[in-house]
Amino acid sequence: MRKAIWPTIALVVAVSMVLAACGPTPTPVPPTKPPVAATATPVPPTKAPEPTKPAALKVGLVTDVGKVNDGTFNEFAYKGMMRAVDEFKLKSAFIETLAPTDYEKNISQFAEEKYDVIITVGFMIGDATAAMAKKYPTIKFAIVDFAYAPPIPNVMGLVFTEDQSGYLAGALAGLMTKSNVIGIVCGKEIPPVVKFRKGYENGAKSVNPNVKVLGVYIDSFTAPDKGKEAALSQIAEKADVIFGAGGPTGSGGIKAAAEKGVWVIGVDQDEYFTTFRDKKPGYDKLVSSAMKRVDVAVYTAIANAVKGTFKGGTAVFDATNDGVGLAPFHDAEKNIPKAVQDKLAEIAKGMKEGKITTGVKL
Amino acid sequence: MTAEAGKHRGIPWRKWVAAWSQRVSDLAIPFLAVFTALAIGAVVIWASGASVPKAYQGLFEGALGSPRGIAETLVIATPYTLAGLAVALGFRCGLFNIGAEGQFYLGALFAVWVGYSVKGLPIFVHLPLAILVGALGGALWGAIPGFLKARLGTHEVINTIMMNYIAVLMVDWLVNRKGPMWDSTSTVPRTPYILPTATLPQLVPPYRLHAGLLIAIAAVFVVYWLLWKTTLGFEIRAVGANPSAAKYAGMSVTRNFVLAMTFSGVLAGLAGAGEVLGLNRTLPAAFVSGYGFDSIAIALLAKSHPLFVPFAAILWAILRNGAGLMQIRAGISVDLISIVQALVIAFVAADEIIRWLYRIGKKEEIKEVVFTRGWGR
Amino acid sequence: MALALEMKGITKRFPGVLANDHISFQLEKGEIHCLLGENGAGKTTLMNILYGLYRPDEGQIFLDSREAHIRSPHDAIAQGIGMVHQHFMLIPVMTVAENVILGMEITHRGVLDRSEAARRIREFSHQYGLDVDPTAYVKDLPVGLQQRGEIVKALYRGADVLILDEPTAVLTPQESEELFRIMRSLAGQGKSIIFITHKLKEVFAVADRITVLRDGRVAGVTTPKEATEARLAAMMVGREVILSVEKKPAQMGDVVLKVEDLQVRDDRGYMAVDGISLEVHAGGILGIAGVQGNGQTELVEALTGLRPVAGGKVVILGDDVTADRPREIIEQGVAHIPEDRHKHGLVLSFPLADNLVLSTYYRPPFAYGVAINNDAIDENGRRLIAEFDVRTPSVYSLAGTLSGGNQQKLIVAREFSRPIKLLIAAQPTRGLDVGSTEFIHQRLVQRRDAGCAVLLVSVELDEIMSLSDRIAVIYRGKIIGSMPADKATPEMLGLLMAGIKETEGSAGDRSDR
Repeated sequence: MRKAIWPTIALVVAVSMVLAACGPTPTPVPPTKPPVAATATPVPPTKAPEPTKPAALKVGLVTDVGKVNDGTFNEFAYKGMMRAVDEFKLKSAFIETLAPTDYEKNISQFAEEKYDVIITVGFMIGDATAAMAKKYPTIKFAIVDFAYAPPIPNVMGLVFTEDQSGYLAGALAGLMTKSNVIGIVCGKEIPPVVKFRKGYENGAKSVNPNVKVLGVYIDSFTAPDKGKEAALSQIAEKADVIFGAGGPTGSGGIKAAAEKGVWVIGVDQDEYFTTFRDKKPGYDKLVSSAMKRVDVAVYTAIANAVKGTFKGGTAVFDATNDGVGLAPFHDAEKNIPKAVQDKLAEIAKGMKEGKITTGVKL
Repeated sequence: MTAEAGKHRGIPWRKWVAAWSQRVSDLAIPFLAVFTALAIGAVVIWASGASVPKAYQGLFEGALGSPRGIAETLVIATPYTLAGLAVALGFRCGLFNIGAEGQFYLGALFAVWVGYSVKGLPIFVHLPLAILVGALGGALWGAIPGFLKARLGTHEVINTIMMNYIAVLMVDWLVNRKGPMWDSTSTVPRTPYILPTATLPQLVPPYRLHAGLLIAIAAVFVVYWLLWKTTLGFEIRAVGANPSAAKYAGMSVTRNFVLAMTFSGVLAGLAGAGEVLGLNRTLPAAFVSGYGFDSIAIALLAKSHPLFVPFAAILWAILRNGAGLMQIRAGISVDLISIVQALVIAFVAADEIIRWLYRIGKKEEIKEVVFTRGWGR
Repeated sequence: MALALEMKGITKRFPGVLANDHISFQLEKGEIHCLLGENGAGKTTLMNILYGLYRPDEGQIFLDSREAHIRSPHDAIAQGIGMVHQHFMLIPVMTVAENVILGMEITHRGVLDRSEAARRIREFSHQYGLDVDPTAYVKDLPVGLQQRGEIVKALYRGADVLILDEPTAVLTPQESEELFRIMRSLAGQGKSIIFITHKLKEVFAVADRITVLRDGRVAGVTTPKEATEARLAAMMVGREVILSVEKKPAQMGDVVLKVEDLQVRDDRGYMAVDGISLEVHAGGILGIAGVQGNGQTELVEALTGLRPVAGGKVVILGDDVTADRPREIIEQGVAHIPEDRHKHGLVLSFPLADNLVLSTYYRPPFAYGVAINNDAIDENGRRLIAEFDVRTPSVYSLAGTLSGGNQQKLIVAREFSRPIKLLIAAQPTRGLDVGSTEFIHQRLVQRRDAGCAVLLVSVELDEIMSLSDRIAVIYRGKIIGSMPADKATPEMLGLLMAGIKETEGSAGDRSDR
């Protein structure tokens, strides 16, 4: 009796442990519309795509190291893809990359499976994408955060004017600060992050010439505790607004800072719905987020491919097409003076009309 | 599993036949472990709402279902084998070399440096030189913790972890934008490309499979020979199995620590050199491979026996390579692969579970420390 | 008489081994029952079953004629069974009283009442003639008194059946005598005692009845009156054994080992060997007697290069080897049978053949350059295994699969296979059965007769006395006395082992020191 029963129990235990360990991982992120999507569709989606297409396109997504539910880049690229998939009734799949050495292998996996469009995420995957695009010239590629010079005919580089987004965040910070010291916690020193930082500095100075900007690069996008440490040391140096510009690293920074009671600004997506979701402590300290609509960009690239308007080269997502911008103030709004709100609206308008430039060059 | 060790000398056929039934069940354990892990993995896939047949079909088709798949599996198995041998050799000397990742980095760094900076040499000089210097880099990174342990008694686990950080951050600094080894013509942080004369040739173009595979195969036999056919191997194994008895018998325990760590570093360094000379042809800042850490699992799975390491490496390569197509076909997270790997290791390490699930008798086991004797030594 | 305990048909199987095969065992009230047997005969397994550490596969246990189910030591204690292990379970940094009441503390308003506990324990132990100072720290007590503390602890928890597992292994002869007195007094007060040993003499000194185990079975039940030493030995081993060692008078030669004022520190940095000088001559056996833990281990390790020397000099055949490494000393022609054969003597996971060349693997014919010649190693193994009668399926078997006696033979075979001038044998027969002991003793004497100098370190007084030509007694790191073997008596040696020189008076009770 005893002997017969134990293996069963062991198996059940083992399985339940495993189930518990893997947790909610593989649940696909529902393709919810982004929070402020109402205003933000640069390419107007023609709700009824021509049913002339013989077969649905196959779209593959290769993440940067990380998963499609990481709450940042990979997730938003995935959301953008899923929105297009739902809208145009496409087929899709994703590969989550384990290590940078697997980039090429993962891309070629989709290519060998005859996918029509391959989306790759992140600056670091740039070389691998270029190599694979040359090897598979008939496949359409789109890469988030990378621009090729000279352009590759079958690759659409999806880049953002992070400096504009950072500029707006800087202006907000410069107007909000009482101590005239503001901070920024950055991830790796790669072009998109550098643009965020420089834009932030210039934006702050444009509204408040006396402001001092503390900044630090942290050599990882996945080190929230390092971000926290950096944020706390900036607070110790009197910073009273902190901008986290480095994925989970920056989020770790602003989360700690918000709990300390200083104003914080999120990045990439509206962190009110991610980092501070469900009113996590400090949610009312999040004044805004400097958005970079990766989902919009990915959606656009796929939509172009569906409609036959796909073109190699660089697609810039900026203030004019709502590819970047500030997120709503949410629960911090009541504490943001009308004058500040007006001034920000004015800058945003000027930026959209091309009258205000950020002065950032890389 | 040092039980194997004793019998691996010459080819004692008679012994093998005598111990045949025992051997069959011993060899069956890893296979049953893999099978059981996949079975539990199936339950996990099913529970997450995906299709089990699609997932596993994708996994095996991706890894073994096409010439390209097989080639890619071998491409991954190459560094896995070398790094797995590195860790296994350390285990044999009672050392827990967690530093294979760092030694891998150093091997890649040294090899790529010779590969792009030394010019004007013919391939039969340049390529061996690059490989050799890569091995030297790994050796250096292995020898340092070995020396620290021998001299100061500091634990190799701590030191190799530290050395990993130093290696990763050093490479990052060297090849990052504006770093001394950065290729300024590139937007991506990486070194210049190596010269054609330092490139490991492809074995079966157009596939990426390169001659590093031959180095790995050779290394398997060299390590086997070293461990069982030389006085040095005799000492390394004696020190690993019982350092007190080794010392009693007149062996220098500390010298063997340094040597074993150095050889371990050479092997991991070769793995790194192979990756840059055969595959990437440049060293990007984003070089984190995970090979060094996975190799610990591979050495464990192979029970630290050099002849079993390639098989464990191929299994791991199948899982890693097949993961892509598995995700495409079934839309599940790559985490499943990690789960299966973890289960395989758990079942092999605690083979009691497998013996008991499948009613395999226990072999006459002697109390023995297979891998390493604790942390505080 | 009423039975305190009865075990019926106890059977316990371990994978591949039948450790207890339908063993029946009866213990009367107030009886001292000796459980005699070689290592591996099943004594320990049987007692572990009684103490609840193992569950028997078959069989029943009755306490006071009622069937008992003992699932854990906790159960055993609750049902009046106490066990004093070979290795004491006392906490050294606590007092005797604190150790005794551990887990059943006497509190006064929630605060530990130490003086009340001490008073009760003093009274309690006095009642059994077990005088031990309850306020003394365990670490400060000699082992004999620590053992008493263990016994008090067991009794205090209400033990009626007391199991003493090889209690004399750590005691001097005088301390053993004292223990026997206590045992008799306890038995007189109705306690029943199971006394585990493999020393024949002790059986006659104290037992009321004897059960001999062999190969997991009861080989016989007898009494000291009916039995003789030779008969008990034959029951234990299963054949006739020669208990005494035949040896010719020594043909002493030159000094081979000369130790001058040697000082050696132990692992904790204390001076474990504190100024020892001695000489060992070719063709002679110098026996070092002493209670375990008086510096013997450190002495031997220093002589063989395994432990650094803190002061003094070691000279072998005229060469100063004080700072030499083990290999250099080995190459001088020194053989070493180590005290701990699992730690130092063998690589258990290596095959026999490899263990037989553990210190010669690098020399021809076993190796040329770096290349090992496995054929020569196997051949050497086969030859030595035959010569030294190591019972094993083959030279490829792993050393760890052998029995203790065969392992020791393996070590002796290896050490004797080289040309040697000095043999250092530390506890060469510890834990061995009578048969293997006999074999090793013969080999030691053979070597001595062949002109080898032998340093024999042993805690077994019988062994020292029957083998040595000269005897020195070690006490707290010093040689406290030495004499020719034919002048020595067990009493003299016993006093010296306890640190008492005859001029200093009698070997009184040292409990109130």
